[in-house]
Amino acid sequence: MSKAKSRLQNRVRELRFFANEMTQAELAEKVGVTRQTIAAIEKNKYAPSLETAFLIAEAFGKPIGDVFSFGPKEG
Amino acid sequence: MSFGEKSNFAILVALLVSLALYGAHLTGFGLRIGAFSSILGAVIGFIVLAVIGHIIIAIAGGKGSDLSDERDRDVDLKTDRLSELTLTAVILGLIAYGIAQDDMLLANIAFFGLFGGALVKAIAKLVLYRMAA
Repeated sequence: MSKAKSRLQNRVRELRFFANEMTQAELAEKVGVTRQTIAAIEKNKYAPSLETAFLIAEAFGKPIGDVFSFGPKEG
Repeated sequence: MSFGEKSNFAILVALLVSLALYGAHLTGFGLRIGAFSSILGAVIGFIVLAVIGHIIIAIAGGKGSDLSDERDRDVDLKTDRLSELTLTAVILGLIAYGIAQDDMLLANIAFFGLFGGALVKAIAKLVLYRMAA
């Protein structure tokens, strides 16, 4: 059974790198979620709630559109 | 592994041990033989094992190891649906068994349990929809 790839894309891993290699745990603490949730978001295995998406963007000091984007429809 | 996953493992182990012990206790007697004390023992055993498991997780995980978030709630919602389906199937089986055995008390209790649960859910949904309207 293949799972359809989420159209929600993110740059969380890249932005962590440019934020002095912020760890997943540090970002998780800022956002108020578990480290495992940050890992799942980075791998595109979990689509965060709108509130969490805003909190992640806030943690990087970026507008939400710079962190998350909605990809084109496949096919 | 998140606290939610570890907690799930603890509950899974506690369930398997309780079920195995209770199942072994019934072996040789059949499903028609049993006592309130045996069921109570299985329930208490499960609770004690689950609590011990969670204490071990909390001690091993340190401060903040019991954190849960929206992903845990999402997983809970999805798995609750599966659990609800299983329970519904069992209750429908109980109704069928009660009718087949001419035990209408059993069939009626199962029926009211099933419909009572559905009623509570419908009322709760009504309230939640109104709250969000």
